[in-house]
Amino acid sequence: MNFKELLLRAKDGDHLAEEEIIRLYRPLLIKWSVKSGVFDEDLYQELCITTLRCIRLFPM
Amino acid sequence: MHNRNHGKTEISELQTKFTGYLIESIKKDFFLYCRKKERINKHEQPVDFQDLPPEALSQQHTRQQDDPAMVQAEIAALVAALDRLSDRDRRIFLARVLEERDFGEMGSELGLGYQGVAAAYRRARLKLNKILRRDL
Repeated sequence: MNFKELLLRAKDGDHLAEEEIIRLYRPLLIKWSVKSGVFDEDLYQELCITTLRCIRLFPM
Repeated sequence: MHNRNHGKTEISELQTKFTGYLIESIKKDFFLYCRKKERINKHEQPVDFQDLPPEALSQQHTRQQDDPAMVQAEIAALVAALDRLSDRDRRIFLARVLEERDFGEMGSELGLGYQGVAAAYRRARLKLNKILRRDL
């Protein structure tokens, strides 16, 4: 499955596809969840929500 | 899943675009989150005793042992200062401080707008501050 299919399925509300995308971008999310040298669990959660929102809103 | 961008496979243009889009959103939300945290830290007292600096603890301690006569004098000064406010201002101030009422709700009672009540409250507070500072 290529990225386009995955994204389309996630856009349709397929939870597995959403999970896969989040897993794919996990390193990025973790990198931005570090605030003043400490990993912030709440921030990570927020950024996961951001990712889900981006999947919905990304224009294709 | 083998569509990580490790350079071995051709990465789709779409994925690159999506990544860029995602990074921009993440940056924005990261800064929003930091701002929110800062604001909360500014207004909220740390509840955990471990978070408090040691001076704050000792300060609380002496506060508890305050002379009752001093407390009485402070209350008397506050009552005297409140007496010098106009009737309406006093009502707004007490409703806000003691009953924690909403400005809009008070405004509809007094025939003022939200802004009007907020301004009256601010003026009352500044006036009280001035009177008390002069007395003490």
